[in-house]
Amino acid sequence: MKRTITASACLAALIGGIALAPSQALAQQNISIVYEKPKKAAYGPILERLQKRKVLETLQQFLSPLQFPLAVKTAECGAHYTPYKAGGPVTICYEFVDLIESVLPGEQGPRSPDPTMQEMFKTLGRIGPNLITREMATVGPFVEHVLHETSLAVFDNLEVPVWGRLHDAADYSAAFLLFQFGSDIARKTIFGTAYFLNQWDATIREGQITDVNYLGDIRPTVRQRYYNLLCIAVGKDPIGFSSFIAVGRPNTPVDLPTRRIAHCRGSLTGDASYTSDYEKVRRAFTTTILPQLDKDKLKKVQGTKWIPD
Amino acid sequence: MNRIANRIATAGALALVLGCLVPRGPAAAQTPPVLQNDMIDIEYNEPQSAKYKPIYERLKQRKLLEQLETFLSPLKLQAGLILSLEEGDPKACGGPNSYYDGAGRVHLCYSWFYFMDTEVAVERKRPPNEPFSSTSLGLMPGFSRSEVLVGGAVSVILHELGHALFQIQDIPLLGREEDAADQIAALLMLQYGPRVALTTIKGTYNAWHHMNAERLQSQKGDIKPAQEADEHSIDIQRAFNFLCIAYGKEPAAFRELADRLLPRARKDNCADEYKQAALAFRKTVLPDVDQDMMKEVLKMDVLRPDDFK
Repeated sequence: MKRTITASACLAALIGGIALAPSQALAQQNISIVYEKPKKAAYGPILERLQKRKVLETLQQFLSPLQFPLAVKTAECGAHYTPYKAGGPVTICYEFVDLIESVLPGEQGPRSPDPTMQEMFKTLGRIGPNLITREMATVGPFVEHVLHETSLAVFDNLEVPVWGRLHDAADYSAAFLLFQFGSDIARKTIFGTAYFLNQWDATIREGQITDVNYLGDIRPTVRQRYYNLLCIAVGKDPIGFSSFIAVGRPNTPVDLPTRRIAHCRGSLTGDASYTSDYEKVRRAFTTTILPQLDKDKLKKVQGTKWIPD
Repeated sequence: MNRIANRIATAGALALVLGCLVPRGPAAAQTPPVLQNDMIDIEYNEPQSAKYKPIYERLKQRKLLEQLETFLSPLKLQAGLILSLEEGDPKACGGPNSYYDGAGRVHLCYSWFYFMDTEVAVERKRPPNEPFSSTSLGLMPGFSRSEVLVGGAVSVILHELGHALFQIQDIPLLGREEDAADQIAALLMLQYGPRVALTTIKGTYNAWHHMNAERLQSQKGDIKPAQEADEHSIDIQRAFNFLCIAYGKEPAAFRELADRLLPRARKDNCADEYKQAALAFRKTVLPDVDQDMMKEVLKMDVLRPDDFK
């Protein structure tokens, strides 16, 4: 029951506000989609929900500004990710959807003397001072993950010059893109993704943080991804994400440390000057990726309401 | 006596690096171009601390900054660049450090060279039968003092020059700048043959291993979230990043090291990591390199025989 509700919420949110059938305006033949049948029975319901909600069809429309052939599929991978290889496809693993659901806010919400509030808190999680709904905690990381994996394909197909580690660049690009559909969407998806990464890190941290296989992986640590996400968010909207900046209270691991904030926000004073990481990504995206997109379709995508209020 | 200075032939190294990445053009002009760049100034700032004076004398006598200036002469810089050897502000240069200030000045702190000389490139005694581990300091087994002095110096110089290039040339950055600066440093070290590459990469790896071991010792073997929040990767991740790019470019030369030090899954990705960095260099740096001048720069000597000991 829990899974049904949360996955539905996730997928409904992903495609909410738009017609379920691909629109003619955004139809895109070069983006092929496949829902692979999982071997593990537990992933069957996930597949069914993804299909019912036409998640890949929606993604197909969202990716319509891309002008190269791209295959996107959902599949059982044997791990949370399957590494993207040159030429694709982009794969969304059932295991990752399952992971998102496994760390959702549950019955252990914040305590309150008010019974009404207690009931409400049962469906909320917390990250620092922020309350996170189950929808935010589902939609945010799912969308971020899809944008991350798609970014890898875009880098590859468009031969985008990527300085820095590839998966950091994919996360930075995903975070940048989350801001391109309005501040409300950015807030919900980034808070949700931050909640997910924080919870995920908590479940794997002990015993793994000094493991050479974890530190030597092609991906950053989960907590590095968490801070990278916040870095882009605070760089773009320091007020909207100020709850991740410890002012007048002790710094905790969910806060972006002061030293990092200086780089995230940028500085043009003193002995040193830095451009914010958000601005660096915006400039890079504008010069290396944007010129290779279909401008008309991009406008339509930006004008589409992909996630409901 | 010129212990450090004699081991740093950065200009020649960089020259070869760039040269291998530059497509070979038509025959060289009859008159060799003058290897000067009016956009670059150099400064040897005499230290107040007596412990740094021998380093100052050696580097000045070695004409390190003149070599760097010559090496950088093919670059069509969009703004002025100052290369400064200095004791610097205690806040910035007090510990082992060097930095680019975002305002056109690369600060090469004596503290970094001193640290390599007195802490990292030093054989430490261990109790009998105690194997070298992640928390062991100093020279790694199979690594030499010369390698650490050369690699430790070249890597930090190239890293900070990388920052300068990114800002001055307005190079698009989709990923994290600190990792990008390490990438450009690694890429440059690898372009003049496996022998020089082994010397510089091994020294760099050892330097980051030492830094990581120091931190692990001070934190009782743990990695704190604050480290993961830093704009730099964790020290051992930086070591892996350098070695992985090297293995990706020169698998034969680095196989033994990679087998010993890199996780298997990471090794499989190293060729792609090198290609990624090479593509980024070709697309974002090379267009601003004068190839005729580069041919002349390529004629410079690289490391000296003592450097390979």
